[in-house]
Amino acid sequence: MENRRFMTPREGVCLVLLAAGLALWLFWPGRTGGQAVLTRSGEELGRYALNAPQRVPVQGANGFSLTLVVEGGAAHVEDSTCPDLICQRHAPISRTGEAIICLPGQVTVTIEGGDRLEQDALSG
Amino acid sequence: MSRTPFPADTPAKRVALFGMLLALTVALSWLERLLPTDAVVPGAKLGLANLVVLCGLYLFPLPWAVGLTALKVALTGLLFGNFYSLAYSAAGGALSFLAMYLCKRWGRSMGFVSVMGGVFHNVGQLAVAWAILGSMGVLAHLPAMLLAGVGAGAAVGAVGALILRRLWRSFD
Amino acid sequence: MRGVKRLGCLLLCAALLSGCGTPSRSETIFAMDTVMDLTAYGPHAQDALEAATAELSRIEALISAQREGSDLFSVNAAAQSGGEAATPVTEETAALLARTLALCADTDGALDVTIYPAVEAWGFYSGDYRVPAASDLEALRAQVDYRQVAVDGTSVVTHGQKLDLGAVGKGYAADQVTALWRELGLTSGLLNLGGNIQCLGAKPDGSDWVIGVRDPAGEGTLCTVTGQDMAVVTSGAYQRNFTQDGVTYHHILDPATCAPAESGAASVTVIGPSGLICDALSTALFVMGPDRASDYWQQRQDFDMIYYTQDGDLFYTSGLEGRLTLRDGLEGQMLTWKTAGS
Repeated sequence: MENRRFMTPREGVCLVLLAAGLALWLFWPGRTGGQAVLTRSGEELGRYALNAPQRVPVQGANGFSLTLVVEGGAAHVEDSTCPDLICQRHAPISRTGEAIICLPGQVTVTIEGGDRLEQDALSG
Repeated sequence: MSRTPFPADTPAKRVALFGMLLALTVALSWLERLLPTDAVVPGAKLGLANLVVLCGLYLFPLPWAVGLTALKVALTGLLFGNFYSLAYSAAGGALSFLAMYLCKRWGRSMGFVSVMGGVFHNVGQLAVAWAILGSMGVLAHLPAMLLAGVGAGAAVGAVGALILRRLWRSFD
Repeated sequence: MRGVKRLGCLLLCAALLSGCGTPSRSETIFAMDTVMDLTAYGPHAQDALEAATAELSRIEALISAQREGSDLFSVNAAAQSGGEAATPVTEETAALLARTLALCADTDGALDVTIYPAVEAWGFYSGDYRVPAASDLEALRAQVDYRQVAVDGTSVVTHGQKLDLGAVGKGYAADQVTALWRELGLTSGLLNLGGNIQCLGAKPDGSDWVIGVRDPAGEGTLCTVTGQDMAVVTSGAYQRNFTQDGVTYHHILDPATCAPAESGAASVTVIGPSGLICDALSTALFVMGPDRASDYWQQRQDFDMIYYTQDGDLFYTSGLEGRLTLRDGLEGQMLTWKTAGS
């Protein structure tokens, strides 16, 4: 006869630990990245320094397009023509490892660490 | 161990049950599309339709359960999605079904099975995204999506347990 | 349980409030041919910013060699005739020039205020870049000599030399603004004058400021330095340069050759309490090269520096110990004070 219980205490603890671990991973303070790396269908289109504000029009796959906006030390997406607009609703990203993905357009914007050093101002 | 006997004892009841679950899955998928879950975690869906897969696992023997899941993926993909969403839900559905089946076979309880289903559903989706996009950026969404999978799996499991208890009582 | 709950709420409120406590005001202006970010903290922040903006404009109008009507413009106009000329200037300009001439002497000419004609010849003022011929450079070398300039009261005496305070202008302005802010009662502020950083006090929460040094090669940070009440000024070949026929010429000219300094330095950062000194020294030490700069530091020991060479070697002075964080994979060598006889 199969197990028809909802959950045993051991399983519960296991899952709570799993959730806690994931939460820790998710909210672990990241390092400030240096550049936004733009890819389409796996191919790198360009790298854009986060401290150089600019707007980059991107032609994605399947006819969808969007604009990569670098502003205020972070990157976000605007003017997306993809159907779900998930990429556009994503908050601006600036930490190493963070990414914004447009699935229909197969475009990703990933932050890579140029910096890894938090600072109040940059000399030079 | 779990050899799922058919609680529904006549063929007619089994087919009726199967059809009902299938209809339910379409309804739930439709409902899910109305909810703005994207706001919290980009691309995450509540996975309400997984409820049906869970029930299938506990109400039918393996071949029927697989059939139910496959039909779910095909139907919702055709009705509500495009090629890409079909690929994502196929991968997610297959991986989550496998995980749930194995957990159930290994004697885990319903809630645990459901959570694993939710988690691996998202693992599958992200795996496909990674294969297509080839970008490490997909990794960035892993913790959020997995966490959402845990939450969704738990919720679906709770509702599923209620439904299944009722059904079992009516069949036994 | 209720008591615990209340305590928890109180702590939470305190935590939240401490974060959003100090009001701050920021302003970005364009002055001295560059972008300037000013940030002031505290109740007088807005007044502080307005005062700072006014002061920066005033100083630019006073000492910018390019600005018609400025003191420096008048001095340089008088130099056209060649021969001895005495030009009256304000007390402030006279004082600044005197201090700068002293620094020229102290650095043995590595810093030279009379570099104007050379900078002009290379086109760094107009943007019309060109590589002067060898004969031109020889002629320029004769014109560049800070020892021919003197400050007599409020009069500047030159013998055909033209002056440029570009190497110290921003540092001086930063000192003036922070002094002004102190007078206004400000205890926390941050200036970024085209890359010249100056910190007033500590951060609002009392912790040290963390200032990064730009990586000459790319967009990242070479290292960070912590501190309070300090100026951080970097001179680098990457800041302003042009390329002709495959060769890159940068704007930090060696007064001895009147050509871009080839000392092996990629970027030099000077840290200390005075913006003027840090600004002047960052240029001078770049020209000197790592060895001479190290010797110079041994003599003075009243500033700190981070010396980054074109070979990728990084030296830093002992005063920065414990305050320096290097980029992953970068190794630095600390310079220590040598005692007499060692």
